Amino acid sequence: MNNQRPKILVVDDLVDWRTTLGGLLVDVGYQVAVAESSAAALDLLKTEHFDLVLLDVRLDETDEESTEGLTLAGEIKDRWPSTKIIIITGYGTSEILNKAMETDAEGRRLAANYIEKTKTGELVQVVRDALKKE
Amino acid sequence: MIDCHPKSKGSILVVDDLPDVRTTVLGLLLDEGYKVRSASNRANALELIEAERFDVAILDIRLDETDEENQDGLLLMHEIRERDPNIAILIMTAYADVKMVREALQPVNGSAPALGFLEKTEIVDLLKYVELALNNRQTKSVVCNLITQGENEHLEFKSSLRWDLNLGVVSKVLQQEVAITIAGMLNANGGNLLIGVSDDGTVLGLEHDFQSLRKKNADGFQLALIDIIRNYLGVEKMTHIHPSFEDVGNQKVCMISVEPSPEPVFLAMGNSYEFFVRVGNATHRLDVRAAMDYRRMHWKNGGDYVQNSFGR
Repeated sequence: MNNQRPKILVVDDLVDWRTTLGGLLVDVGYQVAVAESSAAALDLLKTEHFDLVLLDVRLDETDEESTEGLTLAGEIKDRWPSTKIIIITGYGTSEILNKAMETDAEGRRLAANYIEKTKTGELVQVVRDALKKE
Repeated sequence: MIDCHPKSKGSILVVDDLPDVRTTVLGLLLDEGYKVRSASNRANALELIEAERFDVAILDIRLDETDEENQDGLLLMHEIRERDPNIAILIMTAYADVKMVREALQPVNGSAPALGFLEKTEIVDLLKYVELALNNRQTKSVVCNLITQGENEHLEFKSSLRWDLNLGVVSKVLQQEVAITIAGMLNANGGNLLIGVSDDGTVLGLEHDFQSLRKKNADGFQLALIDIIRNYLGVEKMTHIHPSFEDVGNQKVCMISVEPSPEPVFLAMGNSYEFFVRVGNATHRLDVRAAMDYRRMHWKNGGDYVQNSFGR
């Protein structure tokens, strides 16, 4: 029974966001793990299967230009294609989001969806939808 | 099969009717690597407790904000203790009064229902309490880990101390066997004897032994054990024999830790004395000649025991 609860990984370098988003998702019944960096996320992904990864675009608050999250998203898509990805962003830079949501030649795209940090109220619904979609 | 706590850091149930408090506490614990779940009321909490195993439960007292008088958390605390006495309970509340604290920390059957009591404003202390609770649990699980190992040179299981489960009587033979096992360990490299556990590692508990005693509890059991040691080995040997009682699931087992003896220990049987040594996972009786040889080898320099492989 335990194993039927979808497993979600939350990746954000900011502890407040990790704990808020993670806490919300546990509270609605998901199994959740958190990671603060790409490296930590990959370590976890190697040892267990996640149905969905929720990841911050920037992943490095000290670098305004960081798009490390997108790099990680690409790597996850390559290595674990069945794992869904939702991008979280604190600053809806359309360019980055466009990239994440763009469909490739085979009609696939990197992220299932994205969500802005200011709209955590929608988080659970966005996650549910992503997990439902095939 | 017994559950000896998986590798994860520990699993924690958070019960509070306020979603914000739940998510904050959950997030905090999650970030520390704990496995967490939550419930908003008593019924949901009990459902989870029955379906999954938890190490710690963090409970709010007022589980219904609309009802000033609600103290469902305290009720839940007792319900959890009934179902699984090994879950450490932490009470977390915004409205503590002395009466509540007293009820949560008042010992029942020798131990307090709650391990700690903290106010919601002290949420930083929560992690300290959780660690404390889990450390408590880890000492307990020493026995649990031993049981998983199975019998070996340093470890023997016995179903009971004196009550023969097949015949339904108090048995002299069983008591003698316990004495023989202990003598064998004293004369070899020491070890642990677990009573209340069958050969195949099934936890049977000590209830039958307890019921066979005048004092039907761990105290009575310990007195009976000392009696056996006195009769067969001499009471002074108790200095190398350390019994303790541990809970495994809902059962109690007795762990007898035996140190290697600094000198040979003989077992009194009627009018004669016998010499036993634990070799591999069995205890062997040595005849006089073999015992002499063994003594020379094991206690070099006359009588001084040379510690070798015990306590690895």
